[in-house]
Amino acid sequence: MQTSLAVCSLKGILRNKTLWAFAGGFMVLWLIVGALESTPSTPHIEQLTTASWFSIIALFGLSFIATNIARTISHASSSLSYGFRFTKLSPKAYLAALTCCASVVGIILVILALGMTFGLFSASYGASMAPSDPLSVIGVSALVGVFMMAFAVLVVLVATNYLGLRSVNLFIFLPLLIDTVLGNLQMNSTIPAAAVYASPFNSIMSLLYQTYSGTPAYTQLFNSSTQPLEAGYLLLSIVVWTVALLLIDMMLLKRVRSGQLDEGRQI
Amino acid sequence: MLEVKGLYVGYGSGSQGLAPFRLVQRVAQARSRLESNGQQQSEYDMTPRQRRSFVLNGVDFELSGGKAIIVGPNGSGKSTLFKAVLGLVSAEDGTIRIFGEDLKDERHDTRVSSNLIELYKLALIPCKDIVKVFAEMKGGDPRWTLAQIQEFGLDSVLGKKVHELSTGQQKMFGNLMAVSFGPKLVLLDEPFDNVDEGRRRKFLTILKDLDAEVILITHEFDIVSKLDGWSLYFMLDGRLWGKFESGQLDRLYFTRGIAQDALEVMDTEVGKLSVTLDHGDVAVGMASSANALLARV
Repeated sequence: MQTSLAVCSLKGILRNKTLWAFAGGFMVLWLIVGALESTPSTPHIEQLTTASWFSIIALFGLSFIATNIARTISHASSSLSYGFRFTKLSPKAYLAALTCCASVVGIILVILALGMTFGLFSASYGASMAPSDPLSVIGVSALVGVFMMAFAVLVVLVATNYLGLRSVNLFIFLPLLIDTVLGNLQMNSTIPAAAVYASPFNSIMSLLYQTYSGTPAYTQLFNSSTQPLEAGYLLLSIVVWTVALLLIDMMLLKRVRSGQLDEGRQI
Repeated sequence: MLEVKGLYVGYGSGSQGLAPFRLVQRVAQARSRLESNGQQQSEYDMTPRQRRSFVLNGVDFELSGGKAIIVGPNGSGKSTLFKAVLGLVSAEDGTIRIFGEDLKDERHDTRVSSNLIELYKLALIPCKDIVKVFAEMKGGDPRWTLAQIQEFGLDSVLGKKVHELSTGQQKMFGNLMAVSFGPKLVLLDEPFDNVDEGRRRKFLTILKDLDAEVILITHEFDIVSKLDGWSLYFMLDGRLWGKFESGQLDRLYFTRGIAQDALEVMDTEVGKLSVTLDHGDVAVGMASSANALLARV
């Protein structure tokens, strides 16, 4: 692995004010809305409501990592193409460096989301809304950070290698769009269990919900009258998707093509 | 050592359809028909209109252990040649060999470098970190580069990201990165554009002392006159003409049409142009740039 690249990229992301303003600001805003609109109920329901808000907002927050990494890679296509030929950098080393960054940033983002959710919802309900298994939440968030990175790399490389530069700018926000659609779908309607397991985004949200609330997630996230989801399958889905995406990324990185700079200037 | 043979690169290469590729195929078929009939291959295989489909129109170039300057007007294909050599644009036809290795098989050859600024946009991190990252990737020491950046009075760039630099700062940062970490083949694209006189002089000294093969592209003849002993080529309409010597600059002339004692006859979109020695229509050394020279011819 290129240690300097991993360390410097991590510093770069940690110092990225725009990322933190957007991700942090977005999370705070929606968690305030959630805390204000939630009405007091039984402690169990309050905990589930808190967990559902946490899971969807953490999912959105984590997708900002994907957006940020996608933007970075879209600028770096020429550098990568050159780097793999004329430096010691390899696709594997590049992905390893990004994996380190993404997992650390994922953990930091989710710790922030945990803190904000706990503080705002505890204040709103007047009782402690602490996560039931914070260590598992943090563990999952590291994995989710890597998944988001792998997905972002895939999106940008497909756009750069096969669809042309114009598409890259549109595709950067794809992770956020997919999160919004699929996240809200599972919050507000019942979707088949197989679809949840097949969708990494829904698996992430369900697993975050489960680790925060300490109760199983359902096919409609918190509706216990719908089918409960198996934590093991949810975790397996995220792991399989992450590994598969990393392997595809590796193949695509070997063929990375430089963005057409003249076309870029026109945009 | 760089060897480029029959290189064709189409506009928007690789992302705008197969038209240039098909044209190259047609040319190759025509060539093989001629050769199978025992006829000599025609000197110019394409019509001027067909040639306009390409940025590079069959470039042949070889550099072995020396330093070369390529002069051409804006849009003549100079930068595209470098991008093709670095694998940043794909060629429709032709071969590129670097130190004997086909470009397609190049992996982890740390001897090749360039000042193209897009090469240094690997991550959205400050230039100081870019230097450290590339030092590790090239297997070099960042201290010389960091010292040179300060020596050139560019301390302020160290804390900025590459895309935040001014055009001149980007150019000098790219130049210094290109000559760092012990390169053996350096490709410099307009290294003096937007660079002030003092920094030009300092960088010229580095270039003259550099123990590496260097190819420098420019549209300014002023630079050529300061690099004595370098090979000199002209690039027009995506084709390369030469070689001449940079020391001959004051003796070279461009003449419209075919001159009897021409050193080279260039077939261009504006007609045939002869390069002659000591006489002709326009003295190359008197022109400030390739654009001005062509305007006068």
